[in-house]
Amino acid sequence: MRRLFWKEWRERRWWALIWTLAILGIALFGGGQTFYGDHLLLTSPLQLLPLAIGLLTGAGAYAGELARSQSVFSRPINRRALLTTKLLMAAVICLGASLLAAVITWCIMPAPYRHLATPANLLSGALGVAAKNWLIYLLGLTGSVVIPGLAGGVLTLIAALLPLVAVTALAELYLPSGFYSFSSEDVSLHQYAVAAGLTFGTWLGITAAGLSITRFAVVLGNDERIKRFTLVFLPLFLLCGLTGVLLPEGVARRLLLHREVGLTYISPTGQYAMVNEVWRPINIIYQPIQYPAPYGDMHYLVRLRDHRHQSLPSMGIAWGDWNWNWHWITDKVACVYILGKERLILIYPDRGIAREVRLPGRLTYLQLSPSPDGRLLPVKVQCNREVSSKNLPEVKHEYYQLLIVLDLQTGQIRGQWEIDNIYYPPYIWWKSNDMLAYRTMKRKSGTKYFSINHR
Amino acid sequence: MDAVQTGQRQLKEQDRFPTFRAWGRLLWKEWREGWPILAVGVVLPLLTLPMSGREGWTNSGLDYSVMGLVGILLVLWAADRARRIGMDRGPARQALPVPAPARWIFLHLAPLAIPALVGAALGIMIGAWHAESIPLRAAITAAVLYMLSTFLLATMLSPVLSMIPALIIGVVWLFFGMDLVRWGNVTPLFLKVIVLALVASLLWEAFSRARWVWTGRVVVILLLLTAFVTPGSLRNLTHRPDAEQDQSSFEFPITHTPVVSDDGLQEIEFGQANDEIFSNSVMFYTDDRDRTRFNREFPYFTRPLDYISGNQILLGRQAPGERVVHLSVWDAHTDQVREKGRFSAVKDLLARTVRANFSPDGRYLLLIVQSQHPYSQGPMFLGDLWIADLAHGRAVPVMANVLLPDVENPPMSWTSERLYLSEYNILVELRTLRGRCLKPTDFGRMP
Repeated sequence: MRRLFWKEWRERRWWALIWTLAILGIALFGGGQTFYGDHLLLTSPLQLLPLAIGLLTGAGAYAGELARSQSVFSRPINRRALLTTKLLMAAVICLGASLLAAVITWCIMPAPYRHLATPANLLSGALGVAAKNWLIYLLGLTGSVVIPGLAGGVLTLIAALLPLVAVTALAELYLPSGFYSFSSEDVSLHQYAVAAGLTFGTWLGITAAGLSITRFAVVLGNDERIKRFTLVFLPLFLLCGLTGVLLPEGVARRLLLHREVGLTYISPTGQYAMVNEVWRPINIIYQPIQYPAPYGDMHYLVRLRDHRHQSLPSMGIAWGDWNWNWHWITDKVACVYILGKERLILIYPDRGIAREVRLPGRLTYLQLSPSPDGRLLPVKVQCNREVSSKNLPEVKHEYYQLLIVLDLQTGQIRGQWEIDNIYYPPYIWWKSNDMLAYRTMKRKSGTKYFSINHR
Repeated sequence: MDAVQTGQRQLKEQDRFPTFRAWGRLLWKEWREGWPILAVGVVLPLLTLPMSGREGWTNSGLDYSVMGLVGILLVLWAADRARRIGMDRGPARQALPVPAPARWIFLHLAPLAIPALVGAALGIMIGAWHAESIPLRAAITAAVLYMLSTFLLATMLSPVLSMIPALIIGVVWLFFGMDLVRWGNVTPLFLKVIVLALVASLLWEAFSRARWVWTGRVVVILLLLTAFVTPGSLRNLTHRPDAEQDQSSFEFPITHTPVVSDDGLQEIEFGQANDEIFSNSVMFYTDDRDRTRFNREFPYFTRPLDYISGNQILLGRQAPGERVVHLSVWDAHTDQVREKGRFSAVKDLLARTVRANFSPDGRYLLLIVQSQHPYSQGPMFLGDLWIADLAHGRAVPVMANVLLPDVENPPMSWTSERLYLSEYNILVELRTLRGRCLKPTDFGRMP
């Protein structure tokens, strides 16, 4: 075993060095918040660099041996020991480099930040980096056992993944919509459990197929190895992938999925929250490639004092519109608005109702601060009207801006005035509870005041 | 004697330029070696096209993954086919019985159709996946040049530095170019790399024939580095920051981004009163509601932080080299200034602050500070979140290197115990001054 380690080190030291440097570099300079505890995902192609080098290191692990005229397999060597050596070597590199990165991070960080980099955060960050890199190495290694040479290893991996991508795409395009969906927004739990099962099965399958070859076929000739890979191991791999589909929904959900907060909007004084939750596959499935897309999402309102939940009305609002067009006006009223639409929706969490407000034109600006007493809300819309002239035969359309004041309690329009401001923001502010000030575009006209009649 | 004559005859044959038949054979050899790369490189990107218009796939990273895989395969192929004869390897291209010019042509130029076609397929994929940001034709042009540059770089470097360094540099270039190609406006850089790679390979031929290996390597590397040198970057080397200030010193130098209120009605511009290093700060306050303007000088290194209410503006001052931050409130309309408090933090905290927000009770101050992490200088904003506790006169970072999509106007909700930063999904416990991401358990059981 010691000699195998020595052999592995002699043959792979340059790869090991480059991989170590890539892991160190990205963990230190490109990993964002790797060692500081909670963090948001930071994705960039450069972060894939250590993973790409890890994949190549793995892809050359057996393929390099196979390409040599004096192959290691011509000697009486325990193949399990050889495999263990290769896996251990990679584990030492990954763990060593990421721990080193953690130590360097701790040493160079300014003193006030040290309380964030606790030993637990440092260790979990390092383990996360190491696990990601080791798994991708394993993927490369299992692809390296068929065709000699580094390029052969990568080609094998692509050949294995190609049918899977094709099957996934075809399944989504042509299977009944309720059965499988990787991408659509309103997927059912069953659908993303199936998708997660498929991904998990793929990982399992490719590892099982690759490792089986190291046990049963690695000493055979090239042609025989390629034949076995195509006829036996590739179907085995695909079957393993597809077994994910057959996992019972409950099991798949419990084992392979977890809930995450996607987006939240908390009311101004923290009484209510509009929460968007997503289901994500467990980290081990997607962490190696930092896959950011969630499988589905749900929106609901929560009263933070006692965690009482309310579901949101559908109101014909598209999936994504809940996420980015939500705004709390006060703690008692929120609105969902989409610029350019002729409506907005007011939501009253304490009353558990929602109200649709039809606007006379397309919404172009929403003043996000209500009147001082919290009863009125100014809205700017763009309308169009027909203009006819004696000189022109056809009727022309003209756009004009309308300032509207909405009653937040009833959703009714309490006043509307034509204004000349076409820009953002339109310069409106509250002079008092029932007086809205507006600065016109014309310098001479100065400020106009609109009085709202309280009924 | 016969063997010597045969050898001499073979050498003479090698020096002759190949016949039409030999050209055909060489082309056949390239095709036999390259067709799997062509097949995979063209089929894989085209396979992703059905998913391109579908919303859930847009941010899935499948396009990146395919580009990465195809690119790696191309780099591997390029570096492998151009490698030198080494121990434990089969015969390399240098052993082909053809003269050097023909070998160079078949090593570098003949297979260019393969990276070009692979690039075209990738371009079609990028054009379909990012139709809003890049037109199809620009995407194809950029991707073709990107793949050609990647291929030629790896092919050229493999004999110069050996296969593994060529692979590594090729892969680094691949990932460096991956983000650029999506914007389609980097054609000059790709073209420059293509031309330089071809020139460098010709130079290497000359140097290696003369057996000036190390000189050749240095020359080739230096030549390649010139691809990244632009007149702008040369100017930066000789740039004197004070030169620009000299030109603008005839008027009040506004040196900072103005601080604008949420409704856009109030704005403060600020800068230094004159060119001296420790000159006073000057605030220019504009209130668009009544079209009033006020200005006032403050001690040096004072800057506006936040609008408190009405006409009151929170100002902070931290002198260079000092850890203490002094806070004051300026009422622009009455021109009154009162001290608000002070806290101890790190040096240059205010210089890095991009957004500040006072808690309603006036006890805590949130500072969103540009992270010192090198990544923060790039296209994304990485911020550190600091909370200043004015009652205890100290400030601590509660989260570091957080990816912040919007620093202009992030929604914040203060309660007596917590601060929520909604869009960032961050919760700060004010008692313990610890920040963390929001979790589903913070909202009870899911319905």
